[in-house]
Amino acid sequence: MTLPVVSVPPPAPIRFTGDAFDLHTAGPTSTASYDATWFAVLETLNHYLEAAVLTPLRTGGPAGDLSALFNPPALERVVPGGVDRFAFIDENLPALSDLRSERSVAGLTALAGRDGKVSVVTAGLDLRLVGHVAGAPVTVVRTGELVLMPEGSTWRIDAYDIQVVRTVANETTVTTAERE
Amino acid sequence: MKRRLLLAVVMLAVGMGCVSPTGVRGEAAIEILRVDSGRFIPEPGKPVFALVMGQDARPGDTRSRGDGLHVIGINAEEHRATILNIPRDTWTNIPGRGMDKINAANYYGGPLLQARAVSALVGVDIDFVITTGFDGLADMVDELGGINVDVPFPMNDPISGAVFPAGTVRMDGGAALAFARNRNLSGGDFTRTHDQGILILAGLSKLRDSAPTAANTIKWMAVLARHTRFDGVGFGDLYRLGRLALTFDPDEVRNVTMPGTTGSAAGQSVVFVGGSAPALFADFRDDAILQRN
Repeated sequence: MTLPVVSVPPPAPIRFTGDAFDLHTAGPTSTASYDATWFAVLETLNHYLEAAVLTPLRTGGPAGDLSALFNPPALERVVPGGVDRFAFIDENLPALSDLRSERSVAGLTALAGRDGKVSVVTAGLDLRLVGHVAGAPVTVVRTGELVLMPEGSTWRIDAYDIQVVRTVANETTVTTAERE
Repeated sequence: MKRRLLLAVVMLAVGMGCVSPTGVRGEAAIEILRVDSGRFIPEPGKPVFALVMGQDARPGDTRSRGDGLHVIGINAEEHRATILNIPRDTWTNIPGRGMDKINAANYYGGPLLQARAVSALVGVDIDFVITTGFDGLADMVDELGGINVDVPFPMNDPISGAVFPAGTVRMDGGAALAFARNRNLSGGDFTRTHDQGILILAGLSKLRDSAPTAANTIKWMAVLARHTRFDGVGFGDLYRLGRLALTFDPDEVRNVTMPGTTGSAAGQSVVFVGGSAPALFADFRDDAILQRN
């Protein structure tokens, strides 16, 4: 007897996608510069998503290394014991099953000088993750705004104003964090 | 999401606060210049001091006098700031030149010497200088959509065009320019200088209301950038400073003018530093906040 074959697609990767990129410039800029900024900022955002959010949610364990993602004054606030760590990092939850994204977009707004060089980018985040713990539904909704500045070719988080709403089995906690 | 801003201090401080009395409009003329190792971001216990200065250059002039001098002290820890206005005819020592009107420093040595002269008078290290003719001011105010100015008393000066009732007046660029230029006032240049401080506060209020998000802050910064030349200043620094400035409540920003008396020296009509000015400067210089004045 031949068993039926069921083809199951792999889970869709969870990544931020840019849903808008508004560039405000005081001078001419190039498509290459625009594209490079777009991809570099999304790379930082997705590095953050993987290390700080997805890894702990999938494993129930600690977050990955965040040191390359934040400028030093901001990093001090998200390291273990930092005042804003819980707003950025989804530790302290058990491992989730069936983790998937219902929404993971970032709207970018950038400023370039007269030389066309982009100096500041803001990322408006809208991230909604769902999963289960012991059969109970879990949602983690993170919204807000990050401010990123370049250091070499890497964009680092310099300031933020974010909120995360975690609902586990109908119990909801709200956490906010802000750094100018 | 709340808060934030930019350049408030810079932007409007800049723009609006300082216009020269000639009334010539032309190309954008704002410059932000870092002074030596000047800082843009305050450190604990170390306020940042900016000099905002108009220039009275006429078309074709290669040198001009400083006009409308304002020292803005920024205290990041307290989220407070003070605007100290200095009459342009203040009789003081200009480093390397001797006694003269303080605004002659810009003519002799540009913004850096003007900053040194102000530093010598007030006793603070100026971190950066913002200069403007009035060219660009009116256009920038218009691009911001106008500002609400708290006019302290009725004005009716056909020369400058400053014809306003007392109270809050919505001003476009031309009206803001007239308000800043009006010298037909009780108190003369003392009052005009103080009025320019009022414009700076109006600009700060406008930016606080208009830039509640970081993304909006960037939009306003782009407006500033289109009217400004930067020297030794990065946009990242400027953004941080602006963001800090937008945390200030304009109602908590003091706008004070150096006390002085009018007289003559070297055949010129001048302002002598008032007897209570040293105490005011001392109160200002330690933390940029006036506790005793």
